[in-house]
Amino acid sequence: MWNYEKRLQYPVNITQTNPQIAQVIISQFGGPDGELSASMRYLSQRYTIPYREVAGLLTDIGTEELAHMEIVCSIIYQLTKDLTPEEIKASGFDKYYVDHTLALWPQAAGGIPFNACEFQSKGDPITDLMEDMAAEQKARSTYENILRLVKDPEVADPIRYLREREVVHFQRFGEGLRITQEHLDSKNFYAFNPAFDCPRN
Amino acid sequence: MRGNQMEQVKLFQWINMVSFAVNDIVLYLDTHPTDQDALAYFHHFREVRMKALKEYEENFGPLTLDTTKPEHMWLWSTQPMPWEGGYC
Amino acid sequence: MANYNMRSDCGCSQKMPQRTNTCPSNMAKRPMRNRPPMQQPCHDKSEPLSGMAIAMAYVPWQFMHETYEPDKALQYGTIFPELNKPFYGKGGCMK
Repeated sequence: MWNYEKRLQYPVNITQTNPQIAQVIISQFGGPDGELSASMRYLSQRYTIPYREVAGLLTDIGTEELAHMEIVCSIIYQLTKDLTPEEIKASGFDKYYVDHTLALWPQAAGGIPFNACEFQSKGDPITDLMEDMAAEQKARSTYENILRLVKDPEVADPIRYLREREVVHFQRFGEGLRITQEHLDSKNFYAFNPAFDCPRN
Repeated sequence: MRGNQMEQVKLFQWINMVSFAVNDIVLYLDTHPTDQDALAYFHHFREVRMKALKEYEENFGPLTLDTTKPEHMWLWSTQPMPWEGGYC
Repeated sequence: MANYNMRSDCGCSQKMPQRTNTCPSNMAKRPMRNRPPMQQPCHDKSEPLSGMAIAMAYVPWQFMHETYEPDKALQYGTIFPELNKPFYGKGGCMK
């Protein structure tokens, strides 16, 4: 189960609103390669992973991704805090505002709502870990795309932190894959799905 | 009051730093469960963190439900939330 | 770094130029050579993953060495210097 700590894993203190960049950064909340997607992916996969170290890793990284989602939402919240109707209209934020006012709602920058089609939980540990490694790289690329557009150092700072965490998670999932490989026969890693099939004698 | 606020900010920043150290070594330990250096690192920073959380609660308010010791008022939900910015 | 452009599956013995992954333009028309049967698996000495099973991906193990002080670690986003991989891209070079 989960506990909550009343602090962000990395501080967010943004003094200047910017609804235009908020509309881009929202992809890391509800977009296909965002933190909510990552968290749901890992927390869903962990149940059927046959190796405890890997299930533990998916639980711990899935939990950390919820903390990252909170950081992204805090960034968006502070970038759009107390906007006036004139500011909303001028920035193009009005299309989001009409349905959500200034509330946080998980969607991608292009408007597609968060949905489970944005991740897979396949029930085969090799496949799931490859999905996870790809997810971390996609998230890294997305943060890099954001960094190219961000001018405000108060915004760039937590974004840079979140990007680095993706690199670390990639390494850990890679190690999870190595652990999985050690349980299987290297002559044919794909002879059976250790989460479902009986091993051949 | 100002001196008190500076102490709060410094202690809060310290909690962020040592908690992060615990977070990162936990992920390393998940894939290296027998690494003795990593285990020692975890024990050290987990103890430092627990001490800091307790000190923060005694002086400024709770950051976890495990360390909250409300005397006259339930501060957990009445003090500022993390997304408000600043150091709560 | 291994010269991973030295592919053995092109059917040609030409060494490819660095940083390209295209075979010579007449490749499509050249028939595959009959190769003599291999007695043992061929380990290309220039392949760092020589001996590892193919059709699989491998990430090298990390081992714990030095760690950053806590203030630097949080700032960088990792306690491990070898995992600190900053981004410097600014875009705008493709035109």
